[in-house]
Amino acid sequence: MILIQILFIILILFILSRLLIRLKSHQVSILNFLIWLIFWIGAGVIVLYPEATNFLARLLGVGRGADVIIYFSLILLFYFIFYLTVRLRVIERQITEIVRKISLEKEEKRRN
Amino acid sequence: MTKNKNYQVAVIIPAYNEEQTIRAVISDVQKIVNQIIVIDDGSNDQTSEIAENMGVKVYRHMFNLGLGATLITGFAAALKNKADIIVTMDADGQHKAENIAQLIKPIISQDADIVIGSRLLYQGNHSMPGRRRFYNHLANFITYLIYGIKTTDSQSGLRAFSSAALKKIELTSQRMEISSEIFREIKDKNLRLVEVPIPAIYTSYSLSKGQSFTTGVKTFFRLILNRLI
Repeated sequence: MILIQILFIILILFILSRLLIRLKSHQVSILNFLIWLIFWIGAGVIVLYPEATNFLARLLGVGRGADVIIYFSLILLFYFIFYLTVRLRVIERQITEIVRKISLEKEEKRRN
Repeated sequence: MTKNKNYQVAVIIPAYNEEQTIRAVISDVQKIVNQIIVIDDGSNDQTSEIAENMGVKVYRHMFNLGLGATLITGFAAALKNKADIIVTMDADGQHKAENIAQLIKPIISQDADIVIGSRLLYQGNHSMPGRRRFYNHLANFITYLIYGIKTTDSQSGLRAFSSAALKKIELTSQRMEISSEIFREIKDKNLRLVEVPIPAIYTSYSLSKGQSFTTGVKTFFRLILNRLI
């Protein structure tokens, strides 16, 4: 095993342990937990057997398996940023709704 | 002028840290309109206290949300208070209450659903600084590109709405993009828009409070984002 594989495996094990803690404290749903579990186990497999991705690379016409992983990671990252932006907008609107409601009710109480 | 008429006019004044000007603005409007609604967008200064002591309605956001969210709160408050015509006006003193009568005239005569007080249409002595004017033209052009509505002052803070129009339009803006969102609704809901020339008073104070180029760019990106999401 080369050093980078060891580092990656340690990182993945750390992330999995955090995930488990979050499941136990109900900060993440079981479905979400399973999706992330499969994702990170998959990542671990790729780290340990990088040749496995060469098959995918040939299929897609990309030079190396490692490149395929980088492309997919980038797409995934962009997707997450998009998802977070949308979520943030939703939360911003919800907070605004609450603040508005409180301001309307408070003034009415002050007047009566 | 508009007091003691058979229609109710409410003036909404969105304010964020305007303790220096809010008193003068309110007393100016009090001469003309009975119902004044100040929306304090989480000011850290005495804006709310000053307004409350002057006997007007004050709605207070517990923290700063932005102009768009503030106006929407104002619209909700005005409709709750059964206003027939709703006017929005800046708290920095750049608008004069004496222009309100002219502004709401097209709504009273039922020629318009929404009226915008245009600073560029005004032919008299006005002093919109050159750079401001350029940004304004740019904003008008972007409004035309995105919504297909020609306007001479897309960023004007002095507007009038009939309550029927206000009930129709759906707004979700948080910040400065509210001005453009109103145009989107005018188009989507087929509302009649009339522009009325109004003078605007520019002081170094109101200029420091207005929009800079950076907020313009930010607003543009929020508009694009609004279209996507």
